[in-house]
Amino acid sequence: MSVLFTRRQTLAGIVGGVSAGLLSVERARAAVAELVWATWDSNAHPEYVEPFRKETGTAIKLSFLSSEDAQFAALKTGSAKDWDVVNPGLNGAWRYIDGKVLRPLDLARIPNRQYLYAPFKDTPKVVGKDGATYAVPYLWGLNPIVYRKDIYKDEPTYATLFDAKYKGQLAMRDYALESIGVAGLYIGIPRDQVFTMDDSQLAEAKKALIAQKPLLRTYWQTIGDLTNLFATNEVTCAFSWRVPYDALKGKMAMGMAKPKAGIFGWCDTFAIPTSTPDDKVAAAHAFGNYLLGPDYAMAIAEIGNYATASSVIRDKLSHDKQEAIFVDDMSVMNSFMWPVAPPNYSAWLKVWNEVKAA
Amino acid sequence: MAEPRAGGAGAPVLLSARGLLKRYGANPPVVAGVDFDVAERAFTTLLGPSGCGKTTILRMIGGFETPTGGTLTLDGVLLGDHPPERRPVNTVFQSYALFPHMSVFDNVAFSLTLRSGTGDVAAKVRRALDAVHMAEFGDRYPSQLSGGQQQRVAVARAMVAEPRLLLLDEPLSALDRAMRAHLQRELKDLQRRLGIAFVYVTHDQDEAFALSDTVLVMNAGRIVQAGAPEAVYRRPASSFVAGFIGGATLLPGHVTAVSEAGTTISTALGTFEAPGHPGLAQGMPASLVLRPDSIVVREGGTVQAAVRHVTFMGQGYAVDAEAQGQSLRFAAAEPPRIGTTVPLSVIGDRAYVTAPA
Amino acid sequence: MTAGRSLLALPMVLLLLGGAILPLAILVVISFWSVDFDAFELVPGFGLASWREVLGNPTYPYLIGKAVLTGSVTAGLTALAGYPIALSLLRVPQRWKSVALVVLMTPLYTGEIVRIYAWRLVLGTDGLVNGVLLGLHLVQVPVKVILFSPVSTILALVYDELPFMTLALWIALERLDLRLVEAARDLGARPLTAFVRVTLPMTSTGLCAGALAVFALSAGDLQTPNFLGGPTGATALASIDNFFGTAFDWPTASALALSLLFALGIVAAVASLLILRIGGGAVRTRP
Repeated sequence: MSVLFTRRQTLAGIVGGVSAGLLSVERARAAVAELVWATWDSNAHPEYVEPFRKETGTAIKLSFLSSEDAQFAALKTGSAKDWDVVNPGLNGAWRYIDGKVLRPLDLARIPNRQYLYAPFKDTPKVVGKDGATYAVPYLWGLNPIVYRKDIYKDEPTYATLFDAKYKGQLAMRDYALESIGVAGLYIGIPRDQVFTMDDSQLAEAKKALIAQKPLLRTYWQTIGDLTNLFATNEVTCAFSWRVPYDALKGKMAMGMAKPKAGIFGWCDTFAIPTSTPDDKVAAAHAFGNYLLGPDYAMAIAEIGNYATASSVIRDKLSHDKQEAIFVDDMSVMNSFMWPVAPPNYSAWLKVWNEVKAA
Repeated sequence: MAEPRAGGAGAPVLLSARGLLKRYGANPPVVAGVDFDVAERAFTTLLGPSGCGKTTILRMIGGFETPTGGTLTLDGVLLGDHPPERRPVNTVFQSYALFPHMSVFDNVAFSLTLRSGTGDVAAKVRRALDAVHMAEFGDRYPSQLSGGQQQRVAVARAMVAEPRLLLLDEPLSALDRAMRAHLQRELKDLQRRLGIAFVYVTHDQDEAFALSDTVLVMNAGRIVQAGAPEAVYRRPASSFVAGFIGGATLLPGHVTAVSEAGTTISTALGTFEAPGHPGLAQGMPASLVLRPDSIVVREGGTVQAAVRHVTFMGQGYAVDAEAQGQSLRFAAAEPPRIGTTVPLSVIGDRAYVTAPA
Repeated sequence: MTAGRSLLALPMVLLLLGGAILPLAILVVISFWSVDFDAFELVPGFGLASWREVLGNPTYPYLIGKAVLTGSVTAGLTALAGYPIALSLLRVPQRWKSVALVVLMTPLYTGEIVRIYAWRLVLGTDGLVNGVLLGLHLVQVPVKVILFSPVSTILALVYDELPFMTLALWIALERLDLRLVEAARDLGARPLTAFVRVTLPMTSTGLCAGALAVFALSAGDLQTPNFLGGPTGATALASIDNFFGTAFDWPTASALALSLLFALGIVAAVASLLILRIGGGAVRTRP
């Protein structure tokens, strides 16, 4: 009873806070008719953002990204001046901060930050050398090993991806950061040191990856590509995203494994580019606050199977839904490793080029 | 014209066509089942208006078209569907078809380089170019040659392959008159010197008469007359042949009598006796063929004709006259006055009674 | 007069300068710069580090050689397949030729990704080829070596680029006087000899144009090797993409891009000269 009461109080508090924030924005910035949000298409179905327009009168115009790198390049070269809110990945946020393409955020205008799960609230990756916060995590997930339950009796680990027994039915992503990271875990590098491997550790990982090549059916390019590979029986186990699991679980015996050695998490943040006009900054903050609020979290949990970085609606979800979006057992947060662009990223890329050309 | 001919009646047959037929789809046949022979060492010409099927016959001999029916036999061997490269026959194409990317020398050497054991290629090419007076031009490219020079190279290229039979498809038609007359003599000399049988296609009767031992006159896919040039000229098998050969006056009428001495034909201008085409019988429609030298101006001539035009021809005059609405053309040593009426007489043994077309 | 004529060439010159020379010059300049990976900024200067990496690490000469090989093999195979197709198109009645052209271009109307997935459906483990092989009991288990191999990559590239080759050959063949081929046959050449000695040289400009287009398109293709090459799908382009985008290492990307461009350019130029030499006189003396 008391728990329930607390929840109600919490909810009331949220609603009050949200409305207060929105009202103040509305009064101050009634003139902002439209914000342009550069983000991934899966983060921004129109129904995810429609409540924001209803409440504030500010329409969200969506501009879909093709890649993280393209987003960074567009901001760096100034070719995306119409973007008002952008979507840096948590791991690469430092690039944007060091590259001076983001405005420092006024955290007082984002009250919903209080509902962030601890790892997201406390992450230093969004804080610049000047101590200011430049981005706020709002959406996250993890990259599991997706596999066929009818073929793998035991839940696969990263070692499975290097196991000659499964030659010709394994796949890795054509992406240096994750594939070399997986190899690092496979050769026994602790998960908190994977992204700071030294040259000799990198060379070991490279050796493992070259030995792995003949076992692979292919390197997958897009998540649609990998889903197709599972559906056509080309691949039975891959370092993946969750998409093939969701898409195929009704048709084949699909499983998702979260290896104990370390789980690759991903996390999107929202940030406001320096090019956003001053008169839109308040509305942009309000929209950031909306992304951490209940409307967005509920819509994307129901439709997209993603969890936001905010705990605001977690307790209202069924257990099945919580499980589906990995918020049933919050200990998962403890085995996360957040891939960061390593300091010697160029060396990683060279290793990856050499592995692929080997 | 009186020179001895190769390939007379007794000469051995090199090529023979029997029932040769070519038809495209449901259209009337282009070549409607023809029979003919080409004698060894003879100069044989297919003569006829355009579209008569003469080039199609040539292409069937060359192997570029497959006959719809009938046979072609060369040296006693059925040509069947042998491809062009397996026939001992070469062609001089209408536009010469010289290889533009090869020098004159390489063009002529082409057939020799395809076979082994052809001996000294360079010497053979030189001899062939010599024969057509093109020895100096071996390094040139076809585009650097005049039409006449290209024609000579085309002949050299075809001859150097030593064919049993050389096919020539209107090889002189693209040249001017003077060059044409000159090359006609060259071709004839060459043919006689080499002793190769030529089958020549043309629509020009003067060229056919100047060159040929045998002329095959064609019309609408059929051979309407085969024979020596004099025979075709003097004794055309039909009024079509007479008309196509040209220069003739045709008087339509019907046969009134046939005897050893000749055939009697009744026409609007009177009744005449002349040699007649075999197969004519009393009562049949026929035409009297009059050559310019078949008609003379003579006191007491039975045909009164009004002189319309007189043309100076060098050795005499060509006179166009009219009698009872019928035009007549004849040769005269002295020009009659235009507008006068002259009495004309027909020299029977220079005229001919032929079947209608 | 002459001045006026030269003015006509001005837009083309400007387009070339702005569209080709200038970007290349920028690449050359950047290839000598370095990157400050802390500030994520290009640092102007003159350093040879990126060139040392590209020319000194055997990976990149290998990938460049692979691009040249892929382009050459694809150009050769499209020529082998394109000539018979173009020759048969010659016999299509005139009024059906526009239809034939549309059909010929069909592969180009679908996107590259669509074609890639179509090839997977044909060549894959559960694909058409394996279905037939299994159905005829020619194999007991699906053949896996066709898909995700150089074979599937080249097959798809040949299919993708074939229209460019066929079109170029077709146009060249339409301009060829077929009596030249008859003359060659008449003089004793078998069909293949007549093709080699007459048709090929007389259409060498078309072959050259087609080969250049196919060479450039296939040597520069990224997606087909990525999606159909499997573990063998590495390309110089993917490496350039990695350096430019992911690693923000523009100098190395520039040096690699320039090396690739240079190698492809040299090979294309030499190959064109050789192809046009087959046509020798035909090209030189055509009035």
